[in-house]
Amino acid sequence: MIKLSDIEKVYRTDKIETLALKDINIHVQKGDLLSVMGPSGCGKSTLLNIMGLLDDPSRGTVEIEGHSVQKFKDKKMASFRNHKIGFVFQSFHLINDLSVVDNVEIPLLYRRMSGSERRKRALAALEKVGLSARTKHFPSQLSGGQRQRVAIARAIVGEPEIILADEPTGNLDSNMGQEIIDILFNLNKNDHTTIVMVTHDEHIADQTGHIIRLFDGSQVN
Amino acid sequence: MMIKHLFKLIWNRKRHNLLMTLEIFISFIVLFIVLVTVIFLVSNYMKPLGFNYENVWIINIDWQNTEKTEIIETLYQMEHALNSFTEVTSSALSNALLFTPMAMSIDDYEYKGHKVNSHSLWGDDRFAEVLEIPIIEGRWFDRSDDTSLKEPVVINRKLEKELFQGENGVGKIILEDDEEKIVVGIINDLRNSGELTRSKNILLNRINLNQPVDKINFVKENFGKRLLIKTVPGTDAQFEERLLRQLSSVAKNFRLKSLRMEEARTSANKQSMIFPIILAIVCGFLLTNVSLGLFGVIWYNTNKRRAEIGLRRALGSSAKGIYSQILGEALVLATFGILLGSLLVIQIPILNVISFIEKPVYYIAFFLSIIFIYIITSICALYPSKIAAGIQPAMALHEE
Amino acid sequence: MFKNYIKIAYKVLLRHKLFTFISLFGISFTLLILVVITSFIDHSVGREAPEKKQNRILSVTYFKLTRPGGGITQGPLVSYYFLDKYVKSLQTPEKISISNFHKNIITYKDNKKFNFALKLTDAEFWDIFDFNFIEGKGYNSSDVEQINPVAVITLDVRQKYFDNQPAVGKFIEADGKNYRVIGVVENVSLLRILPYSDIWVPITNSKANLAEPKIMTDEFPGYFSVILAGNRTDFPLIKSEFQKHLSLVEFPDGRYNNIYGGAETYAETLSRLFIGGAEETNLPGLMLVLFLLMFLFMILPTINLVNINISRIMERSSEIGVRKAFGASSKTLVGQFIVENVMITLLGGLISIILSIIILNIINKSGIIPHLHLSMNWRILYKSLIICVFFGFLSGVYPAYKMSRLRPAEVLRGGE
Repeated sequence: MIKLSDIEKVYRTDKIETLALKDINIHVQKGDLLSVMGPSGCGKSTLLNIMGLLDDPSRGTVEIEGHSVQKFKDKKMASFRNHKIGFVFQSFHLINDLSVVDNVEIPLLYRRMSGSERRKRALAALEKVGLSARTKHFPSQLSGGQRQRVAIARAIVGEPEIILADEPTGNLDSNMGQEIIDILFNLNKNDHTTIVMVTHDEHIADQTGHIIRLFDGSQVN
Repeated sequence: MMIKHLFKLIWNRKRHNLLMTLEIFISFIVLFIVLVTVIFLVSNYMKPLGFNYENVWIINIDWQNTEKTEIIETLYQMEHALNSFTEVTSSALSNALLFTPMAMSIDDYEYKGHKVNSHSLWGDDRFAEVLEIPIIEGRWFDRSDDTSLKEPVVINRKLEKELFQGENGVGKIILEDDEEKIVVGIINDLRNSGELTRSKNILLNRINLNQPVDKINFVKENFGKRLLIKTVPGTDAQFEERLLRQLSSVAKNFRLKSLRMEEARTSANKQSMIFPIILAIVCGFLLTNVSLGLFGVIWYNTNKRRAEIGLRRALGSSAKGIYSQILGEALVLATFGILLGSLLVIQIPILNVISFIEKPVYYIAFFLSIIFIYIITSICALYPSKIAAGIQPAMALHEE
Repeated sequence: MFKNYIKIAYKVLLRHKLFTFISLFGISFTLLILVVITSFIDHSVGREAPEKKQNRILSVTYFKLTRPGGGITQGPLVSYYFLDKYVKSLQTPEKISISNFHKNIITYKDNKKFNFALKLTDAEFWDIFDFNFIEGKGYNSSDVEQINPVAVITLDVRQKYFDNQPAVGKFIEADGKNYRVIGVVENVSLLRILPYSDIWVPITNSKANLAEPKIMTDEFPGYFSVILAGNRTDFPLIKSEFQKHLSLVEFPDGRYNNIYGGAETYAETLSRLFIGGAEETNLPGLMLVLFLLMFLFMILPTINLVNINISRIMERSSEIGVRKAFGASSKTLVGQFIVENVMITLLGGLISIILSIIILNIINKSGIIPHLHLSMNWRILYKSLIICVFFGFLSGVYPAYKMSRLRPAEVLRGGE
């Protein structure tokens, strides 16, 4: 499904070069439930960003379903993100000026679809995460856990094949965190959605099928 | 030390600050242009006008198709008719278009091969008395000029300086075309277009009715155009009507029109003020706009840097230190804009683009522009600085 | 999608009231000043009555005369004789008129004093200019030839002098002569300096000797000519023919030896006065100066808007990151931002139109310029709307470009 080969990522500023990732080779299969672990600053988020086409690797290739992504133009890249990938972030990144349901509709805005169809799908996604009662609320009126559930609804509304979650529980307490993890795991189990999750919580990582450990930009297992 | 730190901060954020610098740079140029105009007008206004317009009536004369001898005769009769008015203290003939900045007549004058051009006006023996023009050297025209072989002229100080290049002009012979003229007096100035106009070279020729008619060049001198009447203070429209009726009854073939010189002055000044006023309004709007924009951006940037400011506070900077830092940053930005602008505007006096504006006008405008820009920037940065100074370190860091 | 943009734009505007105010202030006042200036220009040189044929009109007004010794005299100062001999004889134009610049006269009626402008014209004047007659008509060539004491007056004169009663057939005293009113026209603004006056009478009524052979007139200001071309394309021909006539000018009094002037459009005359040293027209030069002034005037508010817009965008970087992550292409986002920006400019435009109407009314009522009637017409509105959209576009492009360069990976990074 997603294949990373010999990935290297270097950040350049005026004077220094920082090596963020080195010799990364990962092959994510359809239906996988994968976690990425490692101390902070080891390149976990960078890896996820590269997988999600939000960042380019300095070297190496990213293939999604057999297509080499490097040659894609901005527009093709955007369309790929839109159809294939859903994101969940540590700090939710909801748009405060939009209501819950409007936030969930965002991925569908960039597809050809009627307004009513969009609304229908957004409501269905919200139902899946158990937030049907709060569709007209604004993000500022919700708790952290609720916000993250909205974010998950937004990630799944476009029915992507893979969800990339960057420390989805990082800003939540453990109860709420477990709730979120359960939702994600159910998605994997019931809908066979591929999930790649960055976390530094061993307890959570242990529940996933496969763990990739990073240290100073390199895979250690 | 602090300043170096500020420069470093600004330099590291240079792309952020580029637009603000650009904005200040252009504002500086606009401000400079407007201030040059304003200071030019003010400096004109502060220079002596060179004559007194108070209690003077102008009678514009159109002598129409009248015979030359009759014109002269009528002019004498008009002068005589004025004697019956107790309010009138003196009168003079002139062609000077006083307070009418529209048309001009310029001639070249030559002294020792050196040519200078000057506006030429005409006035009779009492012209200086009516307008109270101070003679600073030599004398005004009088009957002794009747016998002079060369036409007498009076010039202003500016023309004397340019024509004689530092020498004293009284008694010198100058050439207009091939005609020799003798300078009999120097006046300070005669800014006939009004207080707001610049000082020009002025040369006055003598109107002399006491010569054979065929020697008077009517076209050239246009001498019958204007009768200037000096009165005691307090004459009104009623006097004007009486005056006009009396003069018209004497000069039946002439067409007369009266005008109070104060009125001519007011309307001339109004005319000269229209453009600067429009300029000032537009400039005022632009600067308000720029200040609001600067204020918004500085405020926003300060808000965005709450964490940095909290950290600085935690590391021991005082509230006053933060205050002066934000203000200081804005002022350093202003300095960049001003430096860029200065490089450009300083070319104007150096290349002497507009020759009639004197250098000091530029320098004053330049310094005032700098001060204005600093004041505007400070005002825009004041409120954001105050807010920044009020940031509590614990709060700002916690938010992060 | 579009509805969504508008929804967001509306929210964004409300959230940052200060930024919104600054943007709206900048846009609306810039447009206000542009509209007032355009209105002035339109009012003084646009193709409105009485200058409806303006695109076919050339005028001969301002001259510079030089003397053999190097002296110069310049101004609107040529004589009737000169125009009659060297302009009236032109072959290419359809019609040629000679008149004087207006003179201010004082006239009395029932112990009341009136100040009016008086203009002496020929009959062609009424053919070239299209006055709106309220009563009667203009005078014809036989009126001019027979020195008939007839006059055309403005509505303003009728109101003041005739108590707003129908005036045709009544008499008005002007410059010591009684004229029979044969026409009443709408007021003319002083900005239309060529046709402007309050009272018009046949030029043969002049007390001056029009035929006296001299180039410069004793009167000030003197006379001018208006030339009506059959077609705009005749302009170059008329100009060169007039220059040929100028080169043949004889100077009866011998004082001058050269004369500079031309058959020109309004803009050409201005360019000659201000840039060409009164000798040559310099239309490109005038345009360049105007363009530079305009540029300097417009660039500041634009930079200001760009500045504010960038602040707005940077603040919404998280939103932009999210949209990118969920499949918005850079193009789509740039589109969104420009729609937002054009919306706010249009709002600014709306405010400026309201302000303009108020300001124009104030200027009209203030009476700074006699008979001024500035108005917001559709042409100006249309122009300012174009300026509006252009503005919105211009000030949105750079911030939008900056936005499209935002890397989602950076703005969405975990902890920030």
